[in-house]
Amino acid sequence: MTCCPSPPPIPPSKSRPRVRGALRAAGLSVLLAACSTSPGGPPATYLSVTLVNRVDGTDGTDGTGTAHPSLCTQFPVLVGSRVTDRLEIPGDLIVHTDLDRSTAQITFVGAETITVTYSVEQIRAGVSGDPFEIAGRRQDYGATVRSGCP
Amino acid sequence: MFPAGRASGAPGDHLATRYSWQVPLTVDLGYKPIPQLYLGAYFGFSLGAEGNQAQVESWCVDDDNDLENDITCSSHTLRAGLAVQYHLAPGAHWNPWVGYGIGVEAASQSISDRPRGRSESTTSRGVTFAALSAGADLRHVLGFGPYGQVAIGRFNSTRTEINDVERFDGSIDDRALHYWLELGLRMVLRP
Repeated sequence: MTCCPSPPPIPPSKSRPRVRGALRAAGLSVLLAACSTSPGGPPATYLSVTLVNRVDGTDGTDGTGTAHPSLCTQFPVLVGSRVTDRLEIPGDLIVHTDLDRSTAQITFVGAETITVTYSVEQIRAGVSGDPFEIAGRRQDYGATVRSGCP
Repeated sequence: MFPAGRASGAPGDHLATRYSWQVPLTVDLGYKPIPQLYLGAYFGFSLGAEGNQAQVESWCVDDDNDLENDITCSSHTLRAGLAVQYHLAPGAHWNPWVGYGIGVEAASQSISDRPRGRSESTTSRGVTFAALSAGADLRHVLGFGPYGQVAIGRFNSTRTEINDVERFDGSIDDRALHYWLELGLRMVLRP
Protein backbone atom coordinates (compact mmCIF):
# COMPACT_ATOMS: atom_id res chain seq x y z
CA MET A 1 0.00 0.00 0.00
CA THR A 2 1.55 3.26 -1.02
CA CYS A 3 -1.08 5.39 0.62
CA CYS A 4 0.28 4.93 4.12
CA PRO A 5 3.56 6.68 4.83
CA SER A 6 5.57 5.56 7.77
CA PRO A 7 4.73 7.52 10.85
CA PRO A 8 7.16 10.38 11.34
CA PRO A 9 9.80 9.77 13.96
CA ILE A 10 9.05 11.38 17.27
CA PRO A 11 12.02 13.31 18.62
CA PRO A 12 13.40 11.97 21.85
CA SER A 13 12.37 13.74 25.00
CA LYS A 14 13.37 13.19 28.56
CA SER A 15 10.25 14.55 30.11
CA ARG A 16 6.72 13.16 30.43
CA PRO A 17 7.32 9.77 28.75
CA ARG A 18 3.76 8.54 29.39
CA VAL A 19 2.24 11.51 27.59
CA ARG A 20 4.69 11.08 24.76
CA GLY A 21 3.77 7.39 24.39
CA ALA A 22 0.09 8.19 24.35
CA LEU A 23 0.62 10.83 21.69
CA ARG A 24 2.63 8.41 19.59
CA ALA A 25 -0.15 5.80 19.78
CA ALA A 26 -2.78 8.39 18.93
CA GLY A 27 -0.76 9.66 15.99
CA LEU A 28 -0.29 6.14 14.64
CA SER A 29 -4.01 5.45 14.96
CA VAL A 30 -4.89 8.58 13.04
CA LEU A 31 -2.41 7.70 10.29
CA LEU A 32 -3.78 4.18 9.95
CA ALA A 33 -7.37 5.37 9.94
CA ALA A 34 -6.70 8.07 7.37
CA CYS A 35 -5.35 5.52 4.92
CA SER A 36 -8.53 3.53 4.52
CA THR A 37 -11.14 4.54 2.00
CA SER A 38 -14.80 3.79 1.68
CA PRO A 39 -14.94 0.18 0.53
CA GLY A 40 -18.33 0.38 -1.08
CA GLY A 41 -18.12 2.92 -3.85
CA PRO A 42 -19.83 2.38 -7.18
CA PRO A 43 -18.00 -0.01 -9.51
CA ALA A 44 -16.60 1.34 -12.75
CA THR A 45 -18.13 -0.76 -15.51
CA TYR A 46 -17.14 -0.18 -19.10
CA LEU A 47 -18.38 -1.57 -22.38
CA SER A 48 -16.59 -1.34 -25.69
CA VAL A 49 -17.68 -1.91 -29.26
CA THR A 50 -15.04 -2.66 -31.86
CA LEU A 51 -15.61 -2.91 -35.58
CA VAL A 52 -13.71 -5.53 -37.55
CA ASN A 53 -13.37 -5.26 -41.27
CA ARG A 54 -14.81 -8.37 -42.92
CA VAL A 55 -12.67 -8.06 -46.05
CA ASP A 56 -9.21 -8.23 -44.61
CA GLY A 57 -10.02 -8.80 -40.94
CA THR A 58 -8.08 -5.79 -39.85
CA ASP A 59 -9.42 -4.74 -36.53
CA GLY A 60 -10.44 -1.11 -36.49
CA THR A 61 -10.13 -0.29 -40.18
CA ASP A 62 -12.70 0.02 -42.93
CA GLY A 63 -10.56 -1.57 -45.64
CA THR A 64 -9.43 1.76 -47.01
CA GLY A 65 -6.85 2.35 -44.36
CA THR A 66 -9.05 4.58 -42.24
CA ALA A 67 -8.82 3.75 -38.56
CA HIS A 68 -11.96 3.72 -36.43
CA PRO A 69 -11.58 4.12 -32.71
CA SER A 70 -13.52 1.70 -30.59
CA LEU A 71 -16.46 2.99 -28.66
CA CYS A 72 -15.72 2.86 -24.97
CA THR A 73 -18.58 3.81 -22.69
CA GLN A 74 -18.88 3.80 -18.93
CA PHE A 75 -22.14 2.73 -17.30
CA PRO A 76 -23.80 5.39 -15.16
CA VAL A 77 -24.66 4.43 -11.59
CA LEU A 78 -27.52 6.70 -10.55
CA VAL A 79 -31.18 5.96 -11.09
CA GLY A 80 -32.31 8.02 -14.07
CA SER A 81 -28.83 8.64 -15.44
CA ARG A 82 -28.27 7.98 -19.10
CA VAL A 83 -25.12 7.86 -21.21
CA THR A 84 -25.03 7.76 -24.98
CA ASP A 85 -22.17 7.46 -27.40
CA ARG A 86 -21.87 7.32 -31.15
CA LEU A 87 -19.41 6.14 -33.77
CA GLU A 88 -20.04 6.96 -37.40
CA ILE A 89 -18.36 5.71 -40.54
CA PRO A 90 -19.70 8.33 -42.93
CA GLY A 91 -22.10 6.98 -45.48
CA ASP A 92 -21.71 3.41 -44.29
CA LEU A 93 -22.47 2.61 -40.65
CA ILE A 94 -23.48 4.27 -37.40
CA VAL A 95 -22.96 2.61 -34.04
CA HIS A 96 -24.97 4.07 -31.19
CA THR A 97 -24.76 3.03 -27.54
CA ASP A 98 -27.38 3.96 -24.97
CA LEU A 99 -26.66 2.99 -21.38
CA ASP A 100 -28.53 3.41 -18.14
CA ARG A 101 -27.48 1.95 -14.81
CA SER A 102 -28.85 -1.50 -15.64
CA THR A 103 -28.90 -1.94 -19.41
CA ALA A 104 -26.83 -1.25 -22.49
CA GLN A 105 -28.53 -0.99 -25.85
CA ILE A 106 -26.28 -1.02 -28.90
CA THR A 107 -27.75 -0.10 -32.26
CA PHE A 108 -26.06 -0.55 -35.61
CA VAL A 109 -27.55 1.45 -38.45
CA GLY A 110 -26.24 0.37 -41.83
CA ALA A 111 -27.94 -1.49 -44.65
CA GLU A 112 -30.29 -2.61 -41.92
CA THR A 113 -30.76 -1.70 -38.29
CA ILE A 114 -29.71 -4.18 -35.65
CA THR A 115 -30.10 -3.66 -31.91
CA VAL A 116 -28.49 -5.79 -29.23
CA THR A 117 -29.01 -5.44 -25.49
CA TYR A 118 -26.85 -6.42 -22.55
CA SER A 119 -27.51 -6.12 -18.85
CA VAL A 120 -24.91 -4.52 -16.64
CA GLU A 121 -24.61 -7.86 -14.83
CA GLN A 122 -23.65 -9.54 -18.10
CA ILE A 123 -21.03 -6.90 -18.77
CA ARG A 124 -19.63 -7.15 -15.25
CA ALA A 125 -19.49 -10.94 -15.52
CA GLY A 126 -17.45 -10.55 -18.68
CA VAL A 127 -18.47 -10.44 -22.31
CA SER A 128 -15.99 -11.14 -25.08
CA GLY A 129 -17.94 -12.90 -27.77
CA ASP A 130 -17.21 -13.60 -31.39
CA PRO A 131 -17.89 -10.74 -33.78
CA PHE A 132 -21.36 -10.68 -35.27
CA GLU A 133 -21.91 -9.62 -38.79
CA ILE A 134 -23.16 -6.12 -39.56
CA ALA A 135 -23.96 -5.00 -43.09
CA GLY A 136 -22.96 -1.43 -43.69
CA ARG A 137 -24.24 0.49 -46.67
CA ARG A 138 -20.97 -0.05 -48.52
CA GLN A 139 -19.33 -3.03 -46.88
CA ASP A 140 -19.71 -5.63 -44.17
CA TYR A 141 -18.27 -5.40 -40.69
CA GLY A 142 -17.87 -7.65 -37.73
CA ALA A 143 -18.78 -6.00 -34.45
CA THR A 144 -17.45 -7.20 -31.13
CA VAL A 145 -18.88 -6.15 -27.80
CA ARG A 146 -16.52 -6.55 -24.88
CA SER A 147 -16.45 -5.84 -21.18
CA GLY A 148 -13.95 -3.12 -20.43
CA CYS A 149 -12.06 -1.02 -22.91
CA PRO A 150 -9.10 -1.95 -25.05
CA MET B 1 -40.76 18.18 1.08
CA PHE B 2 -41.31 14.53 0.29
CA PRO B 3 -41.07 12.82 -3.11
CA ALA B 4 -43.85 10.61 -4.50
CA GLY B 5 -44.92 9.22 -7.83
CA ARG B 6 -42.65 8.32 -10.72
CA ALA B 7 -39.71 10.22 -12.15
CA SER B 8 -40.19 8.40 -15.47
CA GLY B 9 -41.96 5.35 -16.77
CA ALA B 10 -38.77 3.27 -16.67
CA PRO B 11 -38.91 0.31 -14.28
CA GLY B 12 -37.98 1.30 -10.74
CA ASP B 13 -37.64 4.97 -11.56
CA HIS B 14 -39.69 6.43 -8.72
CA LEU B 15 -39.07 9.96 -7.54
CA ALA B 16 -38.14 8.61 -4.10
CA THR B 17 -35.52 6.26 -5.55
CA ARG B 18 -33.71 9.28 -6.98
CA TYR B 19 -34.21 11.89 -4.29
CA SER B 20 -34.63 11.84 -0.53
CA TRP B 21 -36.89 14.21 1.32
CA GLN B 22 -35.56 17.73 0.95
CA VAL B 23 -35.53 20.90 3.00
CA PRO B 24 -37.09 23.70 0.93
CA LEU B 25 -36.59 27.43 1.05
CA THR B 26 -39.05 29.34 -1.13
CA VAL B 27 -39.47 33.05 -1.80
CA ASP B 28 -42.74 34.46 -3.13
CA LEU B 29 -42.98 37.98 -4.53
CA GLY B 30 -46.27 39.53 -5.54
CA TYR B 31 -49.04 41.93 -4.78
CA LYS B 32 -52.73 42.02 -3.93
CA PRO B 33 -54.94 43.84 -6.41
CA ILE B 34 -57.78 43.26 -3.95
CA PRO B 35 -57.45 42.11 -0.32
CA GLN B 36 -58.62 38.59 -1.11
CA LEU B 37 -56.40 38.00 -4.14
CA TYR B 38 -52.64 37.57 -4.29
CA LEU B 39 -50.75 37.35 -7.59
CA GLY B 40 -47.09 36.63 -7.65
CA ALA B 41 -44.11 34.56 -8.58
CA TYR B 42 -42.21 31.95 -6.59
CA PHE B 43 -38.66 30.70 -6.59
CA GLY B 44 -37.65 27.74 -4.48
CA PHE B 45 -34.51 25.78 -3.68
CA SER B 46 -34.50 22.57 -1.70
CA LEU B 47 -31.67 20.35 -0.59
CA GLY B 48 -31.54 16.70 0.38
CA ALA B 49 -29.67 13.44 0.07
CA GLU B 50 -29.73 10.48 -2.29
CA GLY B 51 -32.92 8.52 -2.84
CA ASN B 52 -33.84 5.16 -1.40
CA GLN B 53 -32.44 2.90 -4.11
CA ALA B 54 -30.68 0.32 -1.96
CA GLN B 55 -27.49 0.00 -3.98
CA VAL B 56 -26.98 3.74 -4.31
CA GLU B 57 -27.69 4.18 -0.61
CA SER B 58 -25.06 1.57 0.24
CA TRP B 59 -22.49 3.36 -1.91
CA CYS B 60 -23.26 6.65 -0.25
CA VAL B 61 -22.79 5.37 3.29
CA ASP B 62 -19.32 6.37 4.42
CA ASP B 63 -18.57 3.65 6.95
CA ASP B 64 -14.79 3.43 6.91
CA ASN B 65 -14.20 5.62 10.00
CA ASP B 66 -11.47 7.65 8.34
CA LEU B 67 -13.06 10.93 9.43
CA GLU B 68 -13.43 11.96 5.79
CA ASN B 69 -16.47 11.84 3.57
CA ASP B 70 -15.04 9.85 0.67
CA ILE B 71 -18.30 9.39 -1.19
CA THR B 72 -20.61 12.37 -1.28
CA CYS B 73 -24.20 12.07 -2.41
CA SER B 74 -26.75 14.83 -2.59
CA SER B 75 -29.86 16.01 -4.35
CA HIS B 76 -31.45 19.37 -4.84
CA THR B 77 -34.41 20.87 -6.64
CA LEU B 78 -35.04 24.29 -8.15
CA ARG B 79 -38.59 25.43 -8.80
CA ALA B 80 -39.94 28.67 -10.21
CA GLY B 81 -43.27 29.85 -11.50
CA LEU B 82 -46.37 31.94 -11.07
CA ALA B 83 -48.81 31.68 -8.20
CA VAL B 84 -52.23 32.90 -7.26
CA GLN B 85 -53.78 32.76 -3.78
CA TYR B 86 -57.24 33.43 -2.51
CA HIS B 87 -57.41 34.72 1.06
CA LEU B 88 -60.61 33.83 2.87
CA ALA B 89 -60.36 36.37 5.70
CA PRO B 90 -57.76 38.96 4.71
CA GLY B 91 -58.69 41.31 7.57
CA ALA B 92 -59.00 38.71 10.32
CA HIS B 93 -56.49 37.66 12.97
CA TRP B 94 -56.22 34.22 11.35
CA ASN B 95 -56.33 34.36 7.59
CA PRO B 96 -56.84 31.03 5.80
CA TRP B 97 -55.86 30.86 2.17
CA VAL B 98 -55.69 28.49 -0.77
CA GLY B 99 -53.36 28.75 -3.73
CA TYR B 100 -52.42 27.45 -7.13
CA GLY B 101 -49.09 27.66 -8.90
CA ILE B 102 -47.67 26.65 -12.25
CA GLY B 103 -44.05 26.67 -13.29
CA VAL B 104 -40.92 24.76 -14.09
CA GLU B 105 -38.61 22.62 -12.01
CA ALA B 106 -35.19 20.99 -12.22
CA ALA B 107 -34.17 18.20 -9.89
CA SER B 108 -30.58 17.05 -9.58
CA GLN B 109 -28.85 14.14 -7.95
CA SER B 110 -25.13 13.56 -7.69
CA ILE B 111 -22.54 11.15 -6.40
CA SER B 112 -18.86 11.96 -6.03
CA ASP B 113 -16.38 9.19 -5.31
CA ARG B 114 -13.29 11.08 -4.26
CA PRO B 115 -10.86 8.15 -3.82
CA ARG B 116 -11.66 6.81 -7.27
CA GLY B 117 -11.90 10.23 -8.90
CA ARG B 118 -15.36 9.73 -10.33
CA SER B 119 -18.38 11.98 -10.17
CA GLU B 120 -21.78 11.70 -11.75
CA SER B 121 -24.76 13.99 -11.76
CA THR B 122 -28.11 13.91 -13.47
CA THR B 123 -30.53 16.81 -13.74
CA SER B 124 -34.09 16.28 -14.87
CA ARG B 125 -36.14 19.25 -16.02
CA GLY B 126 -39.86 19.52 -16.36
CA VAL B 127 -43.09 21.29 -15.69
CA THR B 128 -44.98 21.79 -12.46
CA PHE B 129 -48.55 21.60 -13.69
CA ALA B 130 -50.22 22.38 -10.42
CA ALA B 131 -48.82 23.44 -7.07
CA LEU B 132 -51.92 23.21 -4.90
CA SER B 133 -51.44 24.83 -1.53
CA ALA B 134 -53.35 25.88 1.54
CA GLY B 135 -52.49 27.49 4.83
CA ALA B 136 -53.41 30.02 7.45
CA ASP B 137 -51.53 33.16 8.44
CA LEU B 138 -51.52 34.60 11.94
CA ARG B 139 -51.51 38.30 11.16
CA HIS B 140 -49.49 40.79 13.22
CA VAL B 141 -46.88 43.17 11.88
CA LEU B 142 -45.67 40.09 10.08
CA GLY B 143 -47.77 37.16 9.07
CA PHE B 144 -46.76 33.72 10.21
CA GLY B 145 -48.40 30.38 9.78
CA PRO B 146 -48.42 26.77 8.60
CA TYR B 147 -48.97 25.68 5.03
CA GLY B 148 -49.07 22.55 2.95
CA GLN B 149 -48.58 21.97 -0.73
CA VAL B 150 -48.84 19.22 -3.32
CA ALA B 151 -46.89 20.00 -6.47
CA ILE B 152 -47.74 17.79 -9.45
CA GLY B 153 -45.15 17.71 -12.18
CA ARG B 154 -43.56 15.77 -14.97
CA PHE B 155 -39.98 15.63 -16.19
CA ASN B 156 -39.52 16.18 -19.90
CA SER B 157 -35.77 16.11 -20.35
CA THR B 158 -32.67 14.98 -18.56
CA ARG B 159 -28.95 15.61 -18.62
CA THR B 160 -26.18 13.37 -17.29
CA GLU B 161 -22.60 14.42 -16.62
CA ILE B 162 -19.77 12.10 -15.66
CA ASN B 163 -16.64 13.77 -14.34
CA ASP B 164 -18.16 17.10 -15.42
CA VAL B 165 -18.41 15.97 -19.05
CA GLU B 166 -21.86 15.91 -20.58
CA ARG B 167 -22.78 12.37 -21.60
CA PHE B 168 -26.43 12.84 -22.40
CA ASP B 169 -28.82 15.75 -22.78
CA GLY B 170 -32.15 14.99 -24.29
CA SER B 171 -35.80 14.31 -23.87
CA ILE B 172 -37.35 11.59 -21.73
CA ASP B 173 -39.28 9.16 -23.88
CA ASP B 174 -41.35 7.51 -21.18
CA ARG B 175 -42.70 10.36 -19.06
CA ALA B 176 -44.67 10.04 -15.87
CA LEU B 177 -46.24 12.15 -13.16
CA HIS B 178 -44.54 12.86 -9.88
CA TYR B 179 -45.53 14.71 -6.73
CA TRP B 180 -43.72 16.77 -4.14
CA LEU B 181 -45.54 16.89 -0.81
CA GLU B 182 -44.53 19.88 1.25
CA LEU B 183 -45.31 20.96 4.79
CA GLY B 184 -43.84 23.99 6.46
CA LEU B 185 -44.08 27.40 8.00
CA ARG B 186 -44.13 30.66 6.14
CA MET B 187 -43.54 34.25 7.00
CA VAL B 188 -45.43 37.06 5.23
CA LEU B 189 -44.39 40.67 4.98
CA ARG B 190 -47.31 43.12 5.00
CA PRO B 191 -49.93 40.36 5.54
